Amino acid sequence: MHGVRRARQTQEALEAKRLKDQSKLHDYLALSDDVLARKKQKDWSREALRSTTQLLQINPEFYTVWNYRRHILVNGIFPESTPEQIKDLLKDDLSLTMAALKIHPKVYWIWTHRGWCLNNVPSGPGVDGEGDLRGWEKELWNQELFVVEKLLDADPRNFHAWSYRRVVLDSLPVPKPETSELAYTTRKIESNFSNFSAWHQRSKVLSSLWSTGRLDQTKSKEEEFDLVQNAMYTDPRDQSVWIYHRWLIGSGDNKEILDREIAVIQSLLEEETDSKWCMESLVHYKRLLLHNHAALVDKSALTRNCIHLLEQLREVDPGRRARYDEIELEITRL
Amino acid sequence: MDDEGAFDVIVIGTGLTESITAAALAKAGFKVAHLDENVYYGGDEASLSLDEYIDWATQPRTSTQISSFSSLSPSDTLPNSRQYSISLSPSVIPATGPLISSLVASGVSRYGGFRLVEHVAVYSSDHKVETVPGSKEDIFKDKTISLLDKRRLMRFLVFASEDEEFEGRVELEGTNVDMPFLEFLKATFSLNQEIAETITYALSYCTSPTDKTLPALHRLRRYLRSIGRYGHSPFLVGHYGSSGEIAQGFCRTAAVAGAVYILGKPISSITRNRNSEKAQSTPTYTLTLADFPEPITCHLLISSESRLPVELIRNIDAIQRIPSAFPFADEDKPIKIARGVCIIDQALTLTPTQDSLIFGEADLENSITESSPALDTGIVVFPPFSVPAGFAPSAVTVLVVGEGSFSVPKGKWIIYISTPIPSFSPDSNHDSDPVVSPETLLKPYLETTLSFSSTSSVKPLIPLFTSFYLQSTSPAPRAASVTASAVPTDLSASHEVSNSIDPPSPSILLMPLPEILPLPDSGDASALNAEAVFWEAIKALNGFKDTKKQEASQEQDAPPVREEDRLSIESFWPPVVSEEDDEDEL
Repeated sequence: MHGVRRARQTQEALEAKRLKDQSKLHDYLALSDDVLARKKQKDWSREALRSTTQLLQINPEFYTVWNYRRHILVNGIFPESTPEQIKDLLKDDLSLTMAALKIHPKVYWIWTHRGWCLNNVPSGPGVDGEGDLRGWEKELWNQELFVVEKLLDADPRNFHAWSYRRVVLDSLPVPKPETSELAYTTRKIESNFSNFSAWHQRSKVLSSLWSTGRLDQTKSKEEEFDLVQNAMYTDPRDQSVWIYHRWLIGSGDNKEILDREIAVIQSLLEEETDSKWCMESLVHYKRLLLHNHAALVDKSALTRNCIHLLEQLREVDPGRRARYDEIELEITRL
Repeated sequence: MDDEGAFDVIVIGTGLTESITAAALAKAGFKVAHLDENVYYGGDEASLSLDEYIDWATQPRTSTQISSFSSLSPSDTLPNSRQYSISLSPSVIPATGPLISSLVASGVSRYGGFRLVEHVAVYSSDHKVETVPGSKEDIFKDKTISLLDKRRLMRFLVFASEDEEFEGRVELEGTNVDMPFLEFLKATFSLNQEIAETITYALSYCTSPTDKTLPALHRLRRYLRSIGRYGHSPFLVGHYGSSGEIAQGFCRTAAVAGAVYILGKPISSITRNRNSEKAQSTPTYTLTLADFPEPITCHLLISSESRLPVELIRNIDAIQRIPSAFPFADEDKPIKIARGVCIIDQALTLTPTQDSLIFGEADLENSITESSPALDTGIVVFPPFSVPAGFAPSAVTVLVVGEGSFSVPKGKWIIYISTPIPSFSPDSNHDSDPVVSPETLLKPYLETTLSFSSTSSVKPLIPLFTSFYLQSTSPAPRAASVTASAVPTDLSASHEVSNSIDPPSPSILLMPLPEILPLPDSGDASALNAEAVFWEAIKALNGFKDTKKQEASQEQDAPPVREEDRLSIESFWPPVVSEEDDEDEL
């Protein structure tokens, strides 16, 4: 988890732990051997299912066993069960994975198993034209959204959770409006804007809203610039803010916006004279001016300005001096 | 002979500092008697029910407070007197600091609950109440601060919260650190007047435009470090009236550790016992109490100066005055503070309608209707000269507590309002009546506060109860009702008996003088002062045991004295046997 320190332990504590681990290891290996043996024999019984439960609770990263578990369900247990029983079994597995996620929120195989469960929910509870055929699906997917929200409250920078959130939003039988997702990213950004995933999600949602015409792109972009400028001035060192800004500028077709943003960043640089991000962004945007609007700008002045910025960049960010050298070459070659 | 009335130490007064000291000494193994002439705990920091408060306000006081009372509505229009816990010295507790540490380490925190102060606001120069931004997130979202000001404010807050010593920092180079904090903020960090005032009065809790830079920076850093420990706000308020309840909690802990409590029995006499030629081990003082059968004795007396007869203090040279352990104690502090208590039955709001930073966000589904949320517990600071009708030279601080603090019934709030009277003011003269009554001084600010009503109704908010008083830290001359016995004039003779080269241990420890401190500081000051007194008490009490030992070794037929009799105390509170995760729990 972000921001949680490792606990340091004394020699005695380490030794005691080692001994405890020895016996746990012994039991684990016995269990693991048993499960793998059953798998080899294609044991699809309920007893086998219970063994996998036990094993996965200790080690949820053992993806072979998750696979085996799915085989047991599909080949052994589902054929003997009614749709309702299948739904309940899948619900149990959702509980199992939920418990596992609380302890291991970043293990891929737990997430994939959850997805598999949700994708295998049978139609119901209605039957053939009567009642809601997607009722169970809706219930479980909505719960999913709730689950992922809780996980993101606990660690808003867990990219697994964000990625899964996109899967859930796509799979909801009754889709949620994208404007509400926009509001969700707003909340996350406002509570801590040092969150690349939240900005990223925002960019995806906005792109979709703009392309479908649900939000006026021009007006919306202005609001985004306002938002990102506030973040920039509050903490010029936050990388995700600058990356989002760069996405907003895009190819730099709009000269008015480009000029304005350059001025804003220039003011910030006057306050924070050693801000690497200010300098670097200014160079990038001025290059866009040179590239896209050559006829309208004072080329030599701009170029001189960029070179001066690159000089300063070499001082504040000496680890990347070769890159700045290269940029200088490219500019002067134009 | 085990004498039930014989104690190692007697502590007089159950204010917070005295109560922490008593608890620590009792837990360290000493026999403690703790006295208070009132029938309640907490002394000048007590939390009283409404009826008790009215009694307190209308009785003539011989304590350090002078009461001036007004617009007291008859208490029969306010039922449920016992559901009110009105603090005589309201304060808030920083989430990180000596008081919290003592509360946790002593186990007292388990006796009660705490409420986070949910909101701090400042009354701005354009007559609006505005949220005080205290964190990066607050600053980011605040629509009233310009981009450039956001940058400068952030830069200042980062500077203020770093660990490095302030004195050596580059930002302080060349500045006179005695410069007023307000000027320092404007000059060194290019902050505008409004933001500088917000930082000075509502983040650092300075009370005067002349308050100096270094103390303000130290305070600010302590508060910034308290953000995030238990929530977004750095401050807590104890349930059931905070100050008095916490003092009582420490007394309870002391009692569990064996301390004896005697309340409501004023001291009739304090006698210093003549030491016979040999027996230094007889107790040093005998106290008789009104309506109390037997006298009690002790080796060590701990008390504030104002509770001891003047004669006792003047004539004895075994007195030790403990200096304040709170940093910057010698600063030009005010010695009086005007206070007001007001009870209302309508909620206030300190936040304007909540807007997201993004305008026009078309999200009706997820939007939370946050128009004028009702406040439960919050602080409003009025910088000097911010209210046109007001003329207080210092900042006025308002603390609002609602039912979440368990000190009022449902649907009621207490507004505590206060402003210190600066030492240059003519009213800070000890003995004369104030030129300006506390009511006149505070009323304009109270009225402004009442205008922050959350209901949009036209009906003005009328308080159900108001009371104003003046609290003074200058010791009132002690009434002569307590007699000190004829003190032996041949003290030097009795000292020679012990043959020891060491100077005699002090037998009276005078608590550090009480101070008028910013809202979040009095609890921490009490905890630090209690610890200082505790260590001096240990030294003094061990001194007595040493003399006892020496004495005994001089007598052939005395039982051998064991080394273990000299208690070795290593820490202020005994180590708690607990799981690791107990540490941060409240």
